[in-house]
Amino acid sequence: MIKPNQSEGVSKNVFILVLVFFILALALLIFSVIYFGVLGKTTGFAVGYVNLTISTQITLNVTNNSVLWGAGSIDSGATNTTLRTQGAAGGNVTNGNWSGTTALALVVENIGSVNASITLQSGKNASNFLGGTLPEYQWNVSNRDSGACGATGEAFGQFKDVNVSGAAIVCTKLDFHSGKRAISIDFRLVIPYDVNSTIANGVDQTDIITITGSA
Amino acid sequence: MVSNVMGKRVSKSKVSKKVITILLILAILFTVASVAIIMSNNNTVRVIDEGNGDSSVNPVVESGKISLIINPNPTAP
Repeated sequence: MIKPNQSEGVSKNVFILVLVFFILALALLIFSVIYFGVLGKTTGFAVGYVNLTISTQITLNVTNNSVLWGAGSIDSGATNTTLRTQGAAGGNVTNGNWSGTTALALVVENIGSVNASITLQSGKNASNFLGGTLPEYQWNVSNRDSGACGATGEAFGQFKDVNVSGAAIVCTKLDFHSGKRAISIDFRLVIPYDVNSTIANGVDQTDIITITGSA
Repeated sequence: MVSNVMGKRVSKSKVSKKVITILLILAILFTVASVAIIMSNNNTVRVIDEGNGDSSVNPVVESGKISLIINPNPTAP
């Protein structure tokens, strides 16, 4: 029977629990004091800051830099032939016998540390690249990685005549984050049957596309 | 050991509530003090990008090429 004047306490288990907590807290305090040398910091304790500036730079990687159609000719009796690249798939040919196996889109990747604005400029236009009646020489820029180009320019998502007189802005914000930084440049050529004889002579015809990345 | 009204033996080994309270308060104070010491000695280096990079970003020029061979077309439409 519990006497009236006897104070109530807590059980041994609770006491042990609290004691363990107390010991751990004391140990943590002692460790902190020793590790950080708090007791030794009486005078001359100073705080400093480290500033680090990361230089931004643009770096482009043209992972596929050639569209190679190889040799072919227009189907007999056809008015023209159309050659069109299809991204990573082989090129599509209409009214002609080019293979298209190695005619893959150009791929441009922004591997720098900042978003980049991309412009394209061709060395030739349809007339001096192909010649003949109503030739066409066009390009179409699209995202290779989903969401790579955050702010599109001209010729994005649709074929437009190449620009030989000046640089055409095709993407004003190409992302630099991995997995989200590549665009494809497809090409479409319409070669008329009466293409310039100096061009349709079995000799390799080439045009250089200049790709510029800027801030 | 004492006997309760039922005649069974029960333990009277209990700790005073005051002792428990004091231990608990001290433990909490020690913990808070430790955290304060640890936080005040945080020497993590912070990276501050001042964003003055325009002058350090130069345009980059790359190139690609497109090529084909057009064999003479012997038969006009």
